[in-house]
Amino acid sequence: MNERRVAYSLMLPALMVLILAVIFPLLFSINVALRKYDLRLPTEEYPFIGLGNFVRAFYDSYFLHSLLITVEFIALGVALQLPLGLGVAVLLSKLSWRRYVIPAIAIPALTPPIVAGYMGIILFHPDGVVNYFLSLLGVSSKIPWYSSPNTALITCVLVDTWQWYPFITLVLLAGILSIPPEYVEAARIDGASEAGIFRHITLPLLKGVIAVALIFRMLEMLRVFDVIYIVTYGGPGTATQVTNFYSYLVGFHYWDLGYASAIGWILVIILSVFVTYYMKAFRVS
Amino acid sequence: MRLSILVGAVKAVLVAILLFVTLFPIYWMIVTSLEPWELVLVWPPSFLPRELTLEYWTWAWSRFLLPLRNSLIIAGVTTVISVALGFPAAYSFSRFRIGGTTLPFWVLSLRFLPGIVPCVAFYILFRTFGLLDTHLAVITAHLLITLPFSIWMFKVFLDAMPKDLEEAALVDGCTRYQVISKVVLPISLPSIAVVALFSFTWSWNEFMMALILTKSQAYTLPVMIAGFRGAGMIWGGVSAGALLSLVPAVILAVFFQRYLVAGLTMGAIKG
Repeated sequence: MNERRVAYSLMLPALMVLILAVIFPLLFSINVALRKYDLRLPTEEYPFIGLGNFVRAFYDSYFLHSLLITVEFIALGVALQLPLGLGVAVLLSKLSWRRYVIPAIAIPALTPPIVAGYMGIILFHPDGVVNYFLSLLGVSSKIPWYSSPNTALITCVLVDTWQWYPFITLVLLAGILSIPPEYVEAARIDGASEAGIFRHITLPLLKGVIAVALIFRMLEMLRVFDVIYIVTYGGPGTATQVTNFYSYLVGFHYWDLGYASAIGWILVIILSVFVTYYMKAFRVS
Repeated sequence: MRLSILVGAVKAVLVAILLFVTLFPIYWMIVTSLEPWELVLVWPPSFLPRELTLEYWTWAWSRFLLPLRNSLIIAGVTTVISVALGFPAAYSFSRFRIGGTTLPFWVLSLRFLPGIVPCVAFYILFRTFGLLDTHLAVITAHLLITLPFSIWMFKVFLDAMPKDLEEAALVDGCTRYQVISKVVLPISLPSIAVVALFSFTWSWNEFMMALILTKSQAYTLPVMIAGFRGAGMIWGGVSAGALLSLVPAVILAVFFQRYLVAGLTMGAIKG
């Protein structure tokens, strides 16, 4: 029996669909990015303009602003989700009955992001529950969370954190549980404190897993869309207009598909450069 | 002894806070869907509904039936295609060592592709062929993610599977196809369930492509929910619809705990 032929026959159907659903759209979107593909134009022809759309982005203050917002979103998100995710992972690793807790905290990460955002709208309403809890803690004024430019971004970050800290927790928990117990036992016999064990054994061994969990989160946050769409729609003003959302507005509100596509590919370039340096820095494979 | 009781108590309190913060939003949606609208925003809020009504559930049921059906069809067909094509391809990658180390890289980079890139391409393509607002359009777009995901996840599972049985069957004169259908497939059923459910949930949850490729016929649950954004949001009814859309998440979280890490990281970490 010709094994090679079997190998290819098994792959062929998947390969055909991949060409249709992955490779062709990607190549086509590069083609669109290099044209003046503006659906508002009366013509049916979309002239080739080379890197025109890419150059335009560098002079587009909305685009540059959106990059800034995206970086802010990622920085705030990491600052909240990493400590929270790590803390909960350590806590769960010390519970013998954690298997009853894990399903509950995994639900957010599997929830449709649109629904997470919708919950955010209800909870962060000026007369909503979050402000009520804050009033119990002594905050007397009602914070207009997502309707004020000062707090809208952090509201979106909080929704994202509710949804995705469990991701970091689950990944780091798997990492902690894979540390051979002998290491910890040996340190304990030598008289190390719990804090010392965490700092000098657990944390260094977790470095690689933390790096992987973080890059997953950062890349996901770089393309955040759903939460922004439903909670603030980029507003108030442009306060939460992250780049992926801005590209949506350009493409599907102003119908400049060429420019929208170019913005998408600029994000891809930023992402690739970032991943390359990140992997070098943490020596992640 | 006393110290260990104290430590235990602290852990229990921390877990209680954690569960509260994590589950309260979902509980609050249940309350919102059952309480008359005028009472939901009365200050201070009451944590048990003051009055119960099923009005919003009946409201939601009539309106969410179409997107529910669309979501089931789109996620269902996407899943069947991803598994049916992904499994043999993964077997091929795993046993014949085709694809090497670049495959996982490509699978992961597709997941992180900014949504606008495939959206623009698919929008123009389906517009040209008059296929906007059809199930087919959304299914094709979702395969961009779920098919590579399924191939890669199955490869991870198949790589970890012992090959002795297959070799024995081959020696006994089975063909490769028989080996797959009679030996590999039966012992792969659990992993097929995992990949199928993760693909289903991914497609079920996906918003951006479904938003752009549909209009008034093929829109899915997330698109429907997002459509209520702004002043016209009827909280009780949307909450009821949103709760419907949580079903796959709950099933995965409760019954597939062992595979959560592998599924959420697309097999990058085996858990």
